[in-house]
Amino acid sequence: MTAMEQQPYQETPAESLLGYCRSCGRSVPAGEGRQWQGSLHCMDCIVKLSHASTEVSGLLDEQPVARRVPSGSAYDLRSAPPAVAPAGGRSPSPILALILGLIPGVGAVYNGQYAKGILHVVVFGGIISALGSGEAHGAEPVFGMLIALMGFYMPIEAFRTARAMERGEPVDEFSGLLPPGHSTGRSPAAGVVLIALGVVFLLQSLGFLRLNDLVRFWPVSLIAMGIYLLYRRVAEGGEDDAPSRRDGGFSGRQRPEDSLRPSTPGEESRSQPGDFPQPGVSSRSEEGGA
Amino acid sequence: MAYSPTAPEAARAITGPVLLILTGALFLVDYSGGYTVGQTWPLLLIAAGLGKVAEHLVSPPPPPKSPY
Repeated sequence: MTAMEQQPYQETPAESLLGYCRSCGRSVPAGEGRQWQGSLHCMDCIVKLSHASTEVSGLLDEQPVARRVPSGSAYDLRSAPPAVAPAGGRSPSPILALILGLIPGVGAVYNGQYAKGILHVVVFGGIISALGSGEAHGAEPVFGMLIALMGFYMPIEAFRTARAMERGEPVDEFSGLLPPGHSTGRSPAAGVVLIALGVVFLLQSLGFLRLNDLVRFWPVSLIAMGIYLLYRRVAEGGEDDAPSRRDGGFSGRQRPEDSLRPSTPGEESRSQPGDFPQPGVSSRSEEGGA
Repeated sequence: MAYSPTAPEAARAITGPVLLILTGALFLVDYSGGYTVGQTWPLLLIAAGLGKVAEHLVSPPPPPKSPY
């Protein structure tokens, strides 16, 4: 008790406790806190932060947060903006995030998204070790493309996250490049793709399937993805009445059904999209065989 | 408990630990002389995919207009 009194800061009684400051961790009594970037800060920290950014100093004139948000309630998870306060209380610079994003995981860490940074490192390292292990069995071009994809994805993602933070928009830790609410299970496509990939790789690694033979047809996946995107755009355009989109739609809508199906075996799908770059297919098949 | 998660949240919450358990099991199989992790890792993909699909299956139909 005596040690408690010697501290310059007095503990707030539980009934008037609003929450805990995001920056310094001290308890905030009712009527003293301010909401900034979706989390509670005590007045000391707000004053400190206000020197760094004019956006925060506007908060000093605002009404304090009076109502206590019950922790662990539904309000916490759904309607509270899941903002991440960047380290130091200043919003990260998008350009610096872009540059740091070239190093796996560092861009996300710079934005204060530690879990995402670790995930990036693990994914990037996983791809590289899969390539280096020599177990790719002809899927090397796919892994190479994945590395290139990650190389572009990470800086751009870090840049967009930093820009959203700069604007004060809520930033979800795992939002990625997709708009928020996209990953709430509206479409099972991601899961189905994961399962399909898993089955293919499993059959391959257990020796039931020669991926060498299949890998030659990897450009088919690009074609299939393009057709799917076209189909989805056309379907969306059909819902709003956009006449210009709609007449482009019917020619596109007939294609997906008949050309998506034979994309796993090779022969028919190869002959069907004849107007697509044939040299790409043939050069790739030479690489796969070598 | 005061807070009860919705079905999709529960599905999401279960997926992570299941993946961890599966990872442990794969390494255990590897070290005890069965299939190597190099061979069995696609099971992790399949499990993650099943989790995603389960999340989709138990989620209620989406609201007509997205709030975003």
